[in-house]
Amino acid sequence: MTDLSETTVSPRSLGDRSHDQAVAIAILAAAVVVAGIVALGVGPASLPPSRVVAILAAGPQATDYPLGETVIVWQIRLPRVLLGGLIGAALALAGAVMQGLFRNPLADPGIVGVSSGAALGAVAMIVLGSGLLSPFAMLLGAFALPAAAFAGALAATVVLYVIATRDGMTSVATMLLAGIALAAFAAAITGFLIFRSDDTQLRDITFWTLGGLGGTTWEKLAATGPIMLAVLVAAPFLARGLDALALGEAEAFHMGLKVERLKRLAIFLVAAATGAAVAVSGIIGFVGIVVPHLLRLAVGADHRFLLPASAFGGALLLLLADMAARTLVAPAELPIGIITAALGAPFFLWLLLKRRDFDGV
Amino acid sequence: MGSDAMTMALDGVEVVAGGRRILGPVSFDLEPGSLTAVVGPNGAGKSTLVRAMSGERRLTAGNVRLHGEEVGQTSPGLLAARRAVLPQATTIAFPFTVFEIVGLGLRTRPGLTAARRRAIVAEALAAVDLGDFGPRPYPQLSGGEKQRVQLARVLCQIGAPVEDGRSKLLILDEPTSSLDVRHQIDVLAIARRFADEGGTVVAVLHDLNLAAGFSDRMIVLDSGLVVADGDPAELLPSDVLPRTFGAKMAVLHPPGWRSPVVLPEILGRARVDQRPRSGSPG
Repeated sequence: MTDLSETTVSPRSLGDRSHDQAVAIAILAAAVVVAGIVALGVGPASLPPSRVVAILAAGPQATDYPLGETVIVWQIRLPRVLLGGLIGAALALAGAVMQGLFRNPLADPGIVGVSSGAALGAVAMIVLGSGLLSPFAMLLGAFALPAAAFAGALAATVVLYVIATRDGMTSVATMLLAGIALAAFAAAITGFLIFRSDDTQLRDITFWTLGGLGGTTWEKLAATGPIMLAVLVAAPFLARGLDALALGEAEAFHMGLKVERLKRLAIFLVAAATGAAVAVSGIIGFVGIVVPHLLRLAVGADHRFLLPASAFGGALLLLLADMAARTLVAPAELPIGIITAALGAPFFLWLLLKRRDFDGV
Repeated sequence: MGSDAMTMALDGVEVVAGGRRILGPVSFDLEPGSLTAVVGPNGAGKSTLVRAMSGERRLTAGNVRLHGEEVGQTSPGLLAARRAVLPQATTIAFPFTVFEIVGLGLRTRPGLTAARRRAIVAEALAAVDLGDFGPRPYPQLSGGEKQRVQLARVLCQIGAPVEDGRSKLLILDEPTSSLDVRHQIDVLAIARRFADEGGTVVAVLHDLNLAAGFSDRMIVLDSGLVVADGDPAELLPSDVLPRTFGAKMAVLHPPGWRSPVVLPEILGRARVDQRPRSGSPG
């Protein structure tokens, strides 16, 4: 490093890891691009990465390659890969932000009922979209489902925060138990709505519940992609605030943070990311807990690095999981949620067992 | 001296919680260049007083002014540039390094180069005798080490003791509670130097002798009220402390010391070896 003369000690021996952290993020970003290109080539019509890149470079209207290949890459696989990456990034970010907000590494939108709230919102929109909620459905068009999922997620996050946090401290037990109750309550109403639904609605719900990224079109991407993209852009602005909040609410205030504003923004962000992801793909669990946790081991807890790293890590995980979902039982497809849960649930249990490593949990 | 020349002025400060008055009415000023020790028994309202002074606690009545501006009306950012608070204990659930925690103190001082930030952090860590602790994960430190890391962070936040002619305020809430003897003295010496260089320090302390040895002024709090306020050298030998704490104290005058020391009388209470340990009382 060049600053040796100024500090007499090297940045690394002082504990400044920002160089390593930046490198780690660059590696993750590169891995996401590579995984994306590989994913565009995987499927019944297998394409080598070099050809995928060439087809991408030629553009969607190009005639340099067989029309079938251009359509497969541009119309069928690209929206799916982009959506998968965005959902992974949004879910991992939602997890990381939520953990920062609750000052607790075990918070995750899927585990504590936020996703269930989003699912309730989505199902309510499917079932009541032509009845009670029709004004919203008509007003919002393609955005009605994501908006309803967002509303459900927001309500769940707020309720959870109010229940689980006293005087700025979150009790893990209260949070997890309240999350269970919240998820059960949301599931009960969701169940009632499904019970009340007619055949068409039931088909829509089933299709939606299975989740996964199958049948992703540019239209589907356009309805929720911008929301997730906005979350990705906005999240880094919370990083320094979340760092300060990690010391406690009073300490964050002492350090000059507008604590209430940060908390409101964080809740809004978690709800927007979770709502958008759930609206388009159903509940894909554990991304929000696995990714930030692994990346804390790699890049540390500093949110300026953790948040971008989590976004890339989440995108990478979901791209890989989706490739597995498409190829493991080909020509059929596994719901992607099964894969993330199969990986994530044992990981969560392991976290619970070793959580004495953490302070204040 | 007019009240504007004071770093902080408390005027009729009262805090009522759950229908019970836990503090006040309390009025006093903190003078630039002074180190004020606040002592008192458990539940006297010391922590509430700290929260009132830091701007964290909403007051039921009265006001707290920092350089003439009411702290409740001042933005958190501006407050943070003029006063820093060392909390009693800070636990963190995430594996931040010591370097990252201390560097958080610099969020009030934007525009520093990375090299300058590193230099400031290194200096603060050296000041609290944790020079080579930068890369260590904070959650794995001992209680005393954590307390010193937090002090280093607070020192980074507050910067120079005087800026733009204003004396800055350090609020220390039991800064020595988990420290060994030597580091208790080190930490209070840092606070003393900050005051000697024109800063203002108010510290809640449990050790009466440390309080007397390092402070210019001692405020004794009991049941939310100031029961004594003055020179520790005069307060220590008086009957205020035994009365307030409900403990007999012997006053000693070590030769050459500025202030006397007190020893709680433990005669007849400690180490009653002859008494048989019986299973049931009385």
